[in-house]
Amino acid sequence: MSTVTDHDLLSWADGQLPPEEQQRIGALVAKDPELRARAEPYLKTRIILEEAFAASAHERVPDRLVQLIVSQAPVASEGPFTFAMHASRLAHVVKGLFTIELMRPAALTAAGLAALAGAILLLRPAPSEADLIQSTAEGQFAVGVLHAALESAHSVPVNAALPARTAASVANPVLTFESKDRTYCREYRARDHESLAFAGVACRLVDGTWAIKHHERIAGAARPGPDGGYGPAGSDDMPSLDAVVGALQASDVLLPEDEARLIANRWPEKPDQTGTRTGNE
Amino acid sequence: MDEVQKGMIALLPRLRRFAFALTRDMDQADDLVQETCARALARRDQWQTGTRLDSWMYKIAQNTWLDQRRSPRGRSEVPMTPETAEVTGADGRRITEDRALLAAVGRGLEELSPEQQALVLMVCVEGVSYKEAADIQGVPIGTIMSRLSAARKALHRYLETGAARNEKVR
Repeated sequence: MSTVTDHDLLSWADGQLPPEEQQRIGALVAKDPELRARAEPYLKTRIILEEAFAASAHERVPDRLVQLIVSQAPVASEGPFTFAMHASRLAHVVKGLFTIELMRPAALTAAGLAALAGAILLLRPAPSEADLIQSTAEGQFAVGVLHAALESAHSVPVNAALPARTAASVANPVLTFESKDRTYCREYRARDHESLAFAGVACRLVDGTWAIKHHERIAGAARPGPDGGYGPAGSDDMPSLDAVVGALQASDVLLPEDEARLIANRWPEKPDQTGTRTGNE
Repeated sequence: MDEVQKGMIALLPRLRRFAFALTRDMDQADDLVQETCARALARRDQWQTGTRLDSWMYKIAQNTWLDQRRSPRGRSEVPMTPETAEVTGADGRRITEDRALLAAVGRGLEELSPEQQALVLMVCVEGVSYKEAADIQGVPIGTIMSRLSAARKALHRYLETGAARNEKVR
């Protein structure tokens, strides 16, 4: 049997090995108290550090930081960028393993992948079945790319919100406003996996879901224009959408920097939503 | 706003966590993030489309912090702003509750060299891969693992015994 090195144990504790190797080392550690003792410093320090600093990612981001970035003149850039996998979920899984039953590397890998998949879903449109909206007893809610777009995408101009053709479903917010019942609402354009085009409005509930207030098929969108766009039947031609927005709307459309601030802070609850009134109305 | 600016905004919560882990002080963390963003914006032509924006930002944050550590004047020069007071207010409760743990971890981290602190925190707190950490610190991946292993053992020893070893681990 090959010797397990400290670097093996370190990589295993940090979940940095390929899945088979992760599993193999985990199985060895599970069987061998000596290996477990050697792995302990790596596992424990990871858990403690994660625990000590986890909360600071949930603090409110100061406006000056958002402002510093927003106030810069944009530079034309092309192509997507990628994010590293978020550490916390993985570390929490490691913690669970450590305290309950030391070695379940397969579970760690699966959860790590799920977290990664979630992060990718947030950033890039991906194909899915019932992809935009889910109907429940409580009403309709945005799911998949629509949820991701409403939660973290910045508004784009209406004429850029719907790409001509997509292999996968796609969604883009076009504007953000405050509603009369003190929630944030966003109008969106979306294309489902069959490339049908929709327009609608959704409002964010306290639990982080986006409730669909209106969702309609865009008439004429099935006939792409010569330039591949969906033709002139855009926002001008949707009286029911306009009516819903008009009925909900309590504020002007938010400016891009205000919107950016809300996204950066994950749509902070307003005092009124939690029942602690500020009293300056 | 362009894609880089949007990406930077999306990264703010993570950058602040990293900065807080390095400084253990929210005001200093926000100053560090501000300086990091300013530097990144000033040199954005150095960021290559298609590469990881987060790694690039962590690298700038690390180097900014190392610069500040080397120059004692660095930190006090940055002015305080009202927003930072807000952060440590009601929203800061969760941090306050963990103060004891934080204090112990902070003392343990201080036993390490600044480079080791940054490495341990980017891997353990931020989930940066060894490969990315190697790029960020500009050393081979084997060196990263040796540094990490030594630093984690030292930190563990410190936290278990509650007392500093007499020499710093290099």
